[in-house]
Amino acid sequence: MLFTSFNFFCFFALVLILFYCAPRKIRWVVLLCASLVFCWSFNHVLSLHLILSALIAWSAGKLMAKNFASETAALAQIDRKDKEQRKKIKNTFALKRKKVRTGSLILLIGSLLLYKFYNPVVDVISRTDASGIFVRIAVPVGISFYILQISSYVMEVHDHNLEAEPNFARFLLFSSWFPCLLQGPICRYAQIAPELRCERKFEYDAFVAGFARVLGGFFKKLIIADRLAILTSTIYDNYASYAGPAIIFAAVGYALQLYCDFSGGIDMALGFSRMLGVNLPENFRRPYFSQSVSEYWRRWHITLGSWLKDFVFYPLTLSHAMTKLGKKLRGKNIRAAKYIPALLSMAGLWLCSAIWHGEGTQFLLWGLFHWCMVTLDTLTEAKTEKRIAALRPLTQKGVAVLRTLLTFLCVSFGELIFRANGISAAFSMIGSIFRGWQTPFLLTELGLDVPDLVVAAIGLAILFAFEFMQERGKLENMSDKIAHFPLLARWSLLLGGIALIAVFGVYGAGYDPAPFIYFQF
Amino acid sequence: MQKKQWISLVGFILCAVLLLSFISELMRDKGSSFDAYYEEPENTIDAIFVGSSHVYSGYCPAVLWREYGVSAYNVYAWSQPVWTSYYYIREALKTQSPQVVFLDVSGVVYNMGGTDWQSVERTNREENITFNAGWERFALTIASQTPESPRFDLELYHNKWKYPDRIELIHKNDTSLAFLRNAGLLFETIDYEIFNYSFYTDVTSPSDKAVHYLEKITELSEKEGFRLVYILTPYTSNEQQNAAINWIHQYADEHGIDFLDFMREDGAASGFDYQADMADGDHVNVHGAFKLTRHCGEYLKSLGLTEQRDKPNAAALDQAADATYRMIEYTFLFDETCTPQIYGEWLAQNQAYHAAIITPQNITAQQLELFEQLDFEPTKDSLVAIQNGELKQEFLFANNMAEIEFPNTLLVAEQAESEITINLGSQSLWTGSQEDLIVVLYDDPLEQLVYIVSFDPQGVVNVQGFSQEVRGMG
Repeated sequence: MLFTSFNFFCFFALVLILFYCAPRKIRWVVLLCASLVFCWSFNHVLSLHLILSALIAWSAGKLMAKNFASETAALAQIDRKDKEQRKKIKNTFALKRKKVRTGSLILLIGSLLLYKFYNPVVDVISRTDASGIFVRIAVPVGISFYILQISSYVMEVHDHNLEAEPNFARFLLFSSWFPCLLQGPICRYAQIAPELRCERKFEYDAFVAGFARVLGGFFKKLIIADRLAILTSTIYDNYASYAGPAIIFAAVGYALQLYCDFSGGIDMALGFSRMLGVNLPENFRRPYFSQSVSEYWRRWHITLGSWLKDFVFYPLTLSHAMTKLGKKLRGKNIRAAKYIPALLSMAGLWLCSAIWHGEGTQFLLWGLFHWCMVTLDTLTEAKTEKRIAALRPLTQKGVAVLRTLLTFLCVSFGELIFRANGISAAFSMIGSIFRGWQTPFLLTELGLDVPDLVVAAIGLAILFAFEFMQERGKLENMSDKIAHFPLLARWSLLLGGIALIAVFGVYGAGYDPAPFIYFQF
Repeated sequence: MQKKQWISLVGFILCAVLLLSFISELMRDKGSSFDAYYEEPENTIDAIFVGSSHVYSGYCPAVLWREYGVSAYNVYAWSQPVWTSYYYIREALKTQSPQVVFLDVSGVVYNMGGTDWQSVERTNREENITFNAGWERFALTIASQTPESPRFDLELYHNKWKYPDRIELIHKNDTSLAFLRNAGLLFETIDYEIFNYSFYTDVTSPSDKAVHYLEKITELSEKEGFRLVYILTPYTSNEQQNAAINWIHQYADEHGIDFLDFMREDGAASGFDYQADMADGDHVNVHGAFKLTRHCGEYLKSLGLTEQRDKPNAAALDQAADATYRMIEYTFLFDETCTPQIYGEWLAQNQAYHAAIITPQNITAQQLELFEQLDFEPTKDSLVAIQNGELKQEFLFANNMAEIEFPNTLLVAEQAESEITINLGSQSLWTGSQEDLIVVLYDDPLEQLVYIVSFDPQGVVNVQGFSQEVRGMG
């Protein structure tokens, strides 16, 4: 039941009706049932994994909350001046909490790793062992997203940044919230738990804005991404037959496809949520207008980036080993003391990101590439900014355009590695970039006819113009603005959008629609 | 939610549904076997044959009119299941009140044991719901829905934006082959292995859905007062389907419905010969079609329903039957055994045609034989116009182009390098060698181009017939 399927359309219409017909007090129950049905529709038995994971996290939270309460009670009985005793009690309780946190995280992250890596291991074994003892298993849908979401709750409760949720059903709703289940955004409990209480009145404007956002998502996915998918798949799946300009096109085309596919899916998730009165965090901020790879990562898949930063980068940076290393280096080289622990932590972050994306070794290479680029940025950032600031305003603008283009090309190169069918394919494609520039390369030979190419190009041009205006601060929060347009203008825009997608979308006869790319992660 | 917001929301949903319906209607394929049917004067058709391509190739209304004085029409659709037959009959009854409806019952059993029944259902869903909008079409869309079917018609047609010339807002009925009355006669013959269908004695009920629609058709015949007659046109069936056909025999007996089973006793009675009368494994050829149609004619005669010639459109029916017989005649003539001489003789004797003959620069003795009976020597590298068997005019190629005006259309021949292209209006019809002698045949009463026949320097024939090519077989 993907967002673009007819079944989801019927499902969502039913959820809307039930949600708004239900008394406000039990609306969250409607959403919980809808989320469970949505999850169940993908894989009946494996839905239990989601429920079990939520139960583990909720129980851990509950235990830690109890532990905090017991600690407070125990400390209340100790004289404030008896610091030694208080510290001892604090340490005892902290140790218990740590055990609960670590235990639950091992179970949660362990199950994620098991599901992610079991099948690839079985594939490797099957090559040499024909006994058939090891068989592939089905993977719970959305596991990579909901495990991170649930784990963040455990860590935040442990750090006492969050009060534990007393009601398991409400926590289950947070864990299984269906618009986020397939490809995020990866929400924090504090961000959406209040929204999921559904205590707000119906907001007509928010409903319309949500719908407009959904249409925007469909535009990106069905009009642009799925057309580009046909072109890029032809090259990636037959990479040995292509070289030079075709490989460059594959890299750039896939970068654009990935953005339209992923951000389109996120737009839909945000829009559907908003139509149900739930605001989700943004996951993209026009990443291809970034002027450096570091900036790109602050604008791309924001919720994953922020999760990794909070729960991998900071803990690593503040870890005993890194602090010790920093201190050790401070005596020798102050600059090294500043950067080396941070860059090593960053390496940990990129390793986690690569593992999260999948078992393919090309993801490790992709992570290494981005770590190198971000390192380069970090080391040169201060000097570059200083030099640019010294330039004339017009030259500064020119440099900004150049930097944006260069960043886009760098990121596209990274996406080439990301999309390649394995690490050897990635190396082979990189090697092919420098060959075959004499051979003419025709887009029409990649599986799309001229009218479809024209539609994809126009779609991209519209998207670029729209984001360019947003970048200049002119069309920010467009869906909200549409909701406030006069009736005729609003209806014309929305109905026009529906007609555009209905006619030019990649679906039905003559097309083979692609699933969302991040659905596979 | 405020009342105003409710109204706005409901209004928007209604507008969206209307908009999508409009786009769907705009984009959908239009045109069906009803196109020419709709143009028939009301209540002038005496009998209709309803079914799939079996009916299309199996029955020739021209025979019924010429030999029995019965105005008939084939109401067919590719791979037509019985629920489609039901709605096709209802659509047919909107403008006509036939006394007899011949229903081909292969549509009742198509999904029994057949290996390709899913594609039959897909074809039915995608190809057959193309007649005029109305309740019947909507109901047929619902009835033809399968779990694999697209939920919206738009899924089938939306990519038609790429072919704007194929998008019709208002469909103009295609009546160019109206004279055939939906007979898709086949001229090939295969030596077909004879099955003894009476060997199958088991009786199995068809699917519930099929039985339901069979009953609905029976009810419809009672309500509308037409005589329902089951027919079964010879095709390659399997054991399960024959067991179900036995069930249909029982059902027909119980309900007093006559059943002309051409795969059993009626086949023998009509003189049907599997070795001479099959065009392929599933369709009868023109010889078979004549036999089956005549048998139906005899059946109608036994009911006293023949010789109904006092119709307002009797002259048009005569003309259509003549055109059908002419088409059959020249289709047989222009096979691979046709020579320039035979063709020349035929052109000289027949008055109902215009012909354009394109002569090559180096005309050979074999090619020249065509002109012997026409009694004139053509100029080389020219376009010769023939009317009523005589030379009308000769046009020389100027700037590699020559043109001739047929009664309602302009035919243009263009030479380019070693090839010659023939265009009718903006439509390219033929591309061949400049060494060939090419004859373009135009049927005057029909006002249609019917054949292009070319003879290479050795006199070897190559034929393209438009009457059959336009429709194709399903």
